[in-house]
Amino acid sequence: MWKTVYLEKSLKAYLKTLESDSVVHGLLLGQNSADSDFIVHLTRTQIPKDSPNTVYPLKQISYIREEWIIDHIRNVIQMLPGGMSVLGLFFVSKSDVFGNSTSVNTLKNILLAVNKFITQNEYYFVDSFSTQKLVLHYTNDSELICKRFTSSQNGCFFDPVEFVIANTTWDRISCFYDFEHLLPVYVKSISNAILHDKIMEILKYVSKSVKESVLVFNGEIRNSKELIKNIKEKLNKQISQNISHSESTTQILVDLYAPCVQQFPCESSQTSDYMAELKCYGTLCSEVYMHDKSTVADAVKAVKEDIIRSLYSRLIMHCNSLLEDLNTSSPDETKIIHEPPRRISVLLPYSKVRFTDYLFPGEENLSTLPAREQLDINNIDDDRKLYEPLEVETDAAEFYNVDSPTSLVTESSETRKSYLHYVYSLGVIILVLMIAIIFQYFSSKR
Amino acid sequence: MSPKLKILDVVVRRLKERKSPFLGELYGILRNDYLIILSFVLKYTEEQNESKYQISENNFPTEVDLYGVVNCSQHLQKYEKNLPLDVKNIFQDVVVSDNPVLLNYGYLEKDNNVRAFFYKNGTATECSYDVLEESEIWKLFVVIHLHIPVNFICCNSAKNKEEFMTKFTKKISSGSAMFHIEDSDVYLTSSNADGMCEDQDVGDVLCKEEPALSPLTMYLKNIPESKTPVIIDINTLMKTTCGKLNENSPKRALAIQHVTKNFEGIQGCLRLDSLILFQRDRSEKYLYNALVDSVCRTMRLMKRSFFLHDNIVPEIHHFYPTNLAHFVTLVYPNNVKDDDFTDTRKYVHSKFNLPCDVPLFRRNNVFAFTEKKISVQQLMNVHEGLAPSGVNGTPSIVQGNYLYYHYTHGNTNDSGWGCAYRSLQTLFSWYKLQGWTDRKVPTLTEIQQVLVDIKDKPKTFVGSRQWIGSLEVSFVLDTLINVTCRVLNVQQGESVAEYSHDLANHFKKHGTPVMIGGGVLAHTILGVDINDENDVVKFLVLDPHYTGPDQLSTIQSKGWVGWKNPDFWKQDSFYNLCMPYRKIGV
Repeated sequence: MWKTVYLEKSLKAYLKTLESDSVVHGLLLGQNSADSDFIVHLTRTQIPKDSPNTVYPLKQISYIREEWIIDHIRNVIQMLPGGMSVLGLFFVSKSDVFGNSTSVNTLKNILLAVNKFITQNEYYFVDSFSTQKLVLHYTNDSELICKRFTSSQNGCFFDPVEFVIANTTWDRISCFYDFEHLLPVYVKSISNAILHDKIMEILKYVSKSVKESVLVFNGEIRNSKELIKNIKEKLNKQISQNISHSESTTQILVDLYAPCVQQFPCESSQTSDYMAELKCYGTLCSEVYMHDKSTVADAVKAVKEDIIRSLYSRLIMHCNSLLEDLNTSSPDETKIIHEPPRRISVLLPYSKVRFTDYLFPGEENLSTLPAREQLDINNIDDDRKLYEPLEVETDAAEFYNVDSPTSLVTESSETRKSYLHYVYSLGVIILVLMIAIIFQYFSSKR
Repeated sequence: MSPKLKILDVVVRRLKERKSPFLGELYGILRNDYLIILSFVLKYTEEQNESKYQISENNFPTEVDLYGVVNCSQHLQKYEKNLPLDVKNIFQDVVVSDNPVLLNYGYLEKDNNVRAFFYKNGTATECSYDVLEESEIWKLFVVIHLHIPVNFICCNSAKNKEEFMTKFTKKISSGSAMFHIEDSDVYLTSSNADGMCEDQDVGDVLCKEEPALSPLTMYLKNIPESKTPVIIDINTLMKTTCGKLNENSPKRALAIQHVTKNFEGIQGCLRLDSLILFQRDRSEKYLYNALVDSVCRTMRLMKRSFFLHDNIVPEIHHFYPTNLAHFVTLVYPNNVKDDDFTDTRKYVHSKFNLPCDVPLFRRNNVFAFTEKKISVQQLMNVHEGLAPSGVNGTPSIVQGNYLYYHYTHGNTNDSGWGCAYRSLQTLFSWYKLQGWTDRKVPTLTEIQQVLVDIKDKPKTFVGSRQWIGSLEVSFVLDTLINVTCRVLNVQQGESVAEYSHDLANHFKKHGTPVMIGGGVLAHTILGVDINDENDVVKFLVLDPHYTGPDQLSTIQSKGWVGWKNPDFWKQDSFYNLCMPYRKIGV
């Protein structure tokens, strides 16, 4: 039986707006499951302006370069919540993309490159990548053709699919991964390279632990074949029966339980001299969206993928921003707070699903965020509508211990802001104190 | 209504063996409407280790608690209203029951009976009781074996380590753990335990919705009845998420605090293994709470241990001495040899009123949780289950456990020359299983090397296929584990029967297996059955010449272990018997 592909209704109208004389192409983003694929968003791939040997305007598929697609996927993948993936490619053109062998070969090469990229990025795609890809062609006479690309040892094929244009109901599942349960990492010497390695060790540990975890849905272990829809219905029913509960409890909330496994040797304890300690704080807010036919097993995969993908994305961004060498010469104890960017959710124009972007500490100008461009969102003008923060910025002052002679440095783009925040707080305290003294003075006089 | 009382037969037996006065604490377990007394621990002993090592409910499986007092004196005490202060003090420590139990035994009394009382409203009222056999316990309870490897990394100071342990215990107590019965789909979360739901408003509705038969009930129902402890392994998972989002306190994003300072750190892993005596028909809620409680108990044992003060990892050991018929959990320091804390063990023996001539709490005496799996590869005590010898005499047989070593064991092809080596291995295994040595049972080559090292044999002996005899067996036992052997020379095979009383005495006094070598064959004697009236004798012989797989049924039915007549020993051969002496001590 053919897998069914669902396309959100308004996306067809959107495709019509893309009609032009040249070939328009981009990524199909959405969710795949055992028997269906759900396309929730289309994003055009920008052609780099300085790309050599490019013929403008693009009149043929064969002019498309695979590195444009891969670069676009590399940028977009960080913006996908777990369970969402690059389902394939779309084209809007006059000529039939499946019509001649040159364009079919180009397509095959690009799709093979996409599959290669996906299989090489274990932290982005956790056990859920599909090597089958969709190709959607919108001809200028409003005809939609969709085919499924399969690569196997026997070769590459395009098979027909059952194509349905319909709106999908999405259920949101939330999870709050707590970093404070992680043991600290002790470091024997300090350098940027070591710091990078240690941060990656944290990622590796979390990734393994999350993959092995058991998930509990609103306090209950569920059968892997149960539909998410049923859980939601059950929650709604319970709310309607018990009005004392607030609206928020209709939310599907999962908790992760990681198996206790031996990490260090049991036979003896080891003592060593160390130079530094890394300790994680805070929470990773995970939000995944599941289509209305998805099962508990699908959701488990998606939540796990989301946590690992989001952690990897922000740690990579943070490590890339660590340009200056760490100061290791100071004889005194120093504290640095590493603040990887925090997660914000991105509204999609044609679906209830929300994607993700990351905001560096102190970054206030939302218009600089790459999501609008990479996801090709043009019809939501207001940044405050488009973006919604999921996590709040770390309060660096919380880490400041007044009893210790530790100096505090915040490893983020806006150290000054934290400092000002601290001075501001201090000012407010002094003011309140002064008012209290004055009040006390006058009341005693009376 | 006071619960009915049942007392484990071993407790009555232990009491009746006592011939001096003592005051003891009674430990038991409550099952529905009756109380089962499982053990007693002497309140005061002559050993001086009292302050360093205590025996309390923490040393028993969870669910076993202090339930009262046992008073053993020359004559039965009259208890009506005025209880001695010592007894009252122990009663005050009984927190799990309002009606503590008092057992009273006078070892000079003619009727030799143990009398039981329930103490209620300031009055001790005598009650009747049933005596329960050990096997009855295992029809009612299963043993839950909880495993938690607790990784730790912290600054190397007692304060930091203590903080770490306290934090972990708090985490478990707050319902952050999920427990999973190994090889099953039974998971237990805090939702199973009433009043422990962290996210009550989210989960409590679902918590109440229980299927007709819960997975745990189904699981326990499928466990067949047993006369010995049935072990259920449970693994632990820890919550790594923080429940629902509170609108008032939004979640702070990930931050990594990087502190640069010079310090000494310590890392390792504590194996937090604990036991629960769990009633077969209890619910999830009960089990979850018992599991949490067991972690707290084990942490208390660990905290008292050496971990906080030195770079020592405490090791948890569970023992099941046959003369107690219940589990005892003790914590030993990982890097101290058994011989270096004999005093501690003596103290434990004295607390349980156990004789100090046989080790029961050495590391090698631990309850073999995994040995059941190992025993598939190697058989233990293969004579057990054999029919009686048929002579209707007084049998004297080996005391304690041994392993059956035979030709080709461990893929060594020793057919035709290794029988005495195999007999020696069986003898050695007895000392190992009784806890006398940590050494592995020596291989055939290692045995040869020992004989070369002590200059009994030339260097070319190692790797050869030369036989050894009883004398060599005694040399090796002496060299490796300092065991003295009596070597008995018998001129004719037929005369072995003449030494049957010597053998009977040996088995009564020492209880070790005996190696016998003669002609071209070596065997192991495990026992002797003598009927003096009819002048008949039979020997329980373990034959090391067996080359087949370790199948008990084959070994017993084909006579590789069995009762043999005196003509088993050949008349024209002379025999040497190597009779190892057991050691005395703990």
